[in-house]
Amino acid sequence: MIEFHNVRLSFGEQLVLDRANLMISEGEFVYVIGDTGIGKSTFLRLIYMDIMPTFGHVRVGGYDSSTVRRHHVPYLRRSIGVVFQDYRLLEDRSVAENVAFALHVTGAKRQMIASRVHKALSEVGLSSKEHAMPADLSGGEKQRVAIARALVNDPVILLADEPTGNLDPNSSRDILAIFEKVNKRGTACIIATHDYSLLVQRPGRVIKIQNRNFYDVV
Amino acid sequence: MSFTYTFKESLAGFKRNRAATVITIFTVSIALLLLGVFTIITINFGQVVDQIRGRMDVEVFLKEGLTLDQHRQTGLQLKAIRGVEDATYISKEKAAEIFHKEFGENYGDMLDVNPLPASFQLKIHEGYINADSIAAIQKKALRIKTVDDVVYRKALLALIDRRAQAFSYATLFIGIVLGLSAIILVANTIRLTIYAKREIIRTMKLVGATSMFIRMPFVIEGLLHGLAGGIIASALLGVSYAFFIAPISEDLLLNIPVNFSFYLFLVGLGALLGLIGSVLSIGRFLREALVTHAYRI
Repeated sequence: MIEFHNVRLSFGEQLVLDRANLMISEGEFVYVIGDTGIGKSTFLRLIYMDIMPTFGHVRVGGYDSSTVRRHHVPYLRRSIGVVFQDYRLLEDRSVAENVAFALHVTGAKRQMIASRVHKALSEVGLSSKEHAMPADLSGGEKQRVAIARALVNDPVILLADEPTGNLDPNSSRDILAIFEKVNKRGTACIIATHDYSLLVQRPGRVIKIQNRNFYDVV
Repeated sequence: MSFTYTFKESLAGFKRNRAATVITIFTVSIALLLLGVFTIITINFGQVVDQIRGRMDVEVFLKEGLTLDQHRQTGLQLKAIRGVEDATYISKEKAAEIFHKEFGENYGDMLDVNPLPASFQLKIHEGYINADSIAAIQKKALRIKTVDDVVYRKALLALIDRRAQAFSYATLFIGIVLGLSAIILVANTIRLTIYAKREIIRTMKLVGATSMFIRMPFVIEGLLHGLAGGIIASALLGVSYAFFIAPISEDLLLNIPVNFSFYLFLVGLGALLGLIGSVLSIGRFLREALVTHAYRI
């Protein structure tokens, strides 16, 4: 489903990936680890085609970075949910509005938006906070809203960039439990992290980025 | 794409950037008001110039000793010249009558023969009342063998032409400057809105918003800035006209074209300038606002 083929990526003179190859199948649960600044976030951005390889190509579903047209990328992103360490919630909108936002941009009908927002929020255990504003939520709750927003479009891939980086151990466990539940439904989860305790709590495939390439850690 | 959602987002942009929005609308309305005033002045100046040109006489004097039939033939030849609308015949007797009326004297008191020549007074088509066209008509008329001389106020016409041209260039320049100011103002405000909303834009892109979906609220916001500026400018112009200009316009012999269509033109112009400003701004600044994030590893 996700394939990196001879990918080279550089920012100016800085080489981040060099002839890197990788394959991730449908429904996999994958951790991406590596030192800070090694390119974990960049790896995720290549998947949702926020940046394109300098050489080689990344294939996600039916989209190939070497042939995809710019105006087709939004349609790829609708099948991918992305969660960040800093949540990236819109502070001037309620919890429900934040989640609904991901559906509004796809032009979904109002009735459908209401029911899917409700479903996504109950999936992350935040049905009672629909009308709350992000400022009134804890870090763990904010991250759950971000996950609900990522899930509301029923993605086939869920990408998480240090999702527990700002959370206490209990909240981290809750977040991981949500990922596990989503993965059981068939959604591939790819989590970039340097919190190795997660790997113990919920084992999965571990990919390490090192020397500008990917290595499976057994 | 949901139009309601896009429209709501555009209005939200107004609220989020309230101070900049108010300043932009106010300044755009002043620019449009000045544009409106200049348009009125230009139209009036054009009308005054046309009136002066309309009174421009071109007189064609005939040679002595011609028959009445030759006079008639000359009239036909004159009418055939491109740019001549009509040619009114003034016989020697009629000329004497006019002379008597204007100067109160009779040629018979001083001379035995009528020294005034027969002539034609040419009426020129509106589009030909300018120095070059009348000079061409004069040249053609002089080629007719029965014509002795062609007289018109050449210097005055050249002066009017020069002044009218200079005035047109000046008003065009002022109009362009004012229009550009309005466009730049709207573009700047949209740029501020884009910067203020760059995180939202980034989130929109992440969740799969198309480029059109991201751009439309800004386009509509710019259009609304211009539209609001146009409405305010029209209102200000309407009030100024009713209280200050209308009472004196008759005394000034001005025909000021301030009617509903003119107000509509001003509002439409505002919307158009706003639209141009926002489209220009989006293309450039939307990319800039997002590029700042692109090189984070």
